[in-house]
Amino acid sequence: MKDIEVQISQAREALLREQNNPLHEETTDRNTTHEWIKGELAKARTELTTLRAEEDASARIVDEYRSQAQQLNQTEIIQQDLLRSAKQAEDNFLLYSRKQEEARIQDALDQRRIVNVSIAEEPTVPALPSSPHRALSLALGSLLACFVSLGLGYTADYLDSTFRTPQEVEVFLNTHVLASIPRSR
Amino acid sequence: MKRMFSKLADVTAIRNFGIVRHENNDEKLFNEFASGDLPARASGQTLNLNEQTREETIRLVRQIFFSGHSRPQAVVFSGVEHGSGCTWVCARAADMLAAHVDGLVCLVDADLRSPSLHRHFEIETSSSIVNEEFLSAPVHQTAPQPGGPNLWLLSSSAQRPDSPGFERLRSRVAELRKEFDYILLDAPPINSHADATLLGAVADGLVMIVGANDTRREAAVRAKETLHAAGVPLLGVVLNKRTFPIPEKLYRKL
Repeated sequence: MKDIEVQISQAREALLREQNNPLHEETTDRNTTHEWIKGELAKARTELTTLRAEEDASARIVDEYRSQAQQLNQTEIIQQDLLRSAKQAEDNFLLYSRKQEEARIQDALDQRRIVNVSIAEEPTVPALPSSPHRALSLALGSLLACFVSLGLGYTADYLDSTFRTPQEVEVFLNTHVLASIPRSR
Repeated sequence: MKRMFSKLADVTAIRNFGIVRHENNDEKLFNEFASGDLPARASGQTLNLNEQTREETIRLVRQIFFSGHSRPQAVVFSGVEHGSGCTWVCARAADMLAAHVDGLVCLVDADLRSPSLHRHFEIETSSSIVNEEFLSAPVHQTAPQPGGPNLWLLSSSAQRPDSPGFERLRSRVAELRKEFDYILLDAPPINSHADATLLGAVADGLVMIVGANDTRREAAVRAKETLHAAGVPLLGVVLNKRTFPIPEKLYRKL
């Protein structure tokens, strides 16, 4: 019951409100469609301007990429030339090295008068080192020391102009030596 | 030290009987002594020598006075340069000679510039005779006898390098010849002064002393040429102060 009464009251209020605001018709000189189309045109023009600017920027980028592509092509050509030159130089080096080795072997063979050479046995690393030879070094060093000592002694004797023995006195003065008295006294 | 102004028996004999020559007997005595047949005299030799030096000194005296045809009476000892040990050799030779012969030996210090011979016989300077006595007084009365009874040392304590003194010394040698059998004169170096050459001209010969490892060959040759130019007979050379870098026994075998 209460709900029905509430609905009735609401209906009355709605009726009252409609009565206070009666329905009327207004006529203006504004064409809304035209206004909408005009607005849309303005937006389209603005968008056109933006797109043209983007077109210019894209064209510049394309041009730049195109020029880079051309440079890369030229660089690639140069690189290819360099690679070919390096390959040729390497081939030449290997060729000359092989020829040099062949020439060296040929010379060695010519010197030893060996025509045909074949490896009889592969070289091996010896278990004991071939040098130094301690005994040989000692013997050669001793021999060298003897020669150097004798040389120094003969040099000192040659440069010394004093008398040391009676024989020297007799040879240089051609005189009889009466006595040779020792220093210790 | 021995102060020698005493009158000795043989001095009297010289005065009374004139010149006494013992050469023949001396040669026999010294050769017997040198060959070992005669023992060394108990007295006489005053200077100490080691064995090898003594052998060489005996050889020196024998070579000078008792070998060869000539028998020199007055012999000059002179070094090539200073420091060769000439005075030492002369003193030892005179001492060795006087100790083993009967003849009279006179040792003369002819280095008037710097006399030093008396030091080898430990004679004090004050006891040496002065210049006037050195050049004129009778030797047997004034000169000291440092060794045996037949050795006289004629030396001067005062330095007198002037020529009159040296000229008197040259004439003095002739006087000494009449009184002594052997006269040994210690002269200055040959290359330093002309004294040795001048004395050698009035003596019977000169013995040149060469210092081992000291005297240069060129200097010795120059000294010999000087003597040869002056006509001084060179009796021989003594190599003094010789050293043996290796043992002597091994040295003798080389």
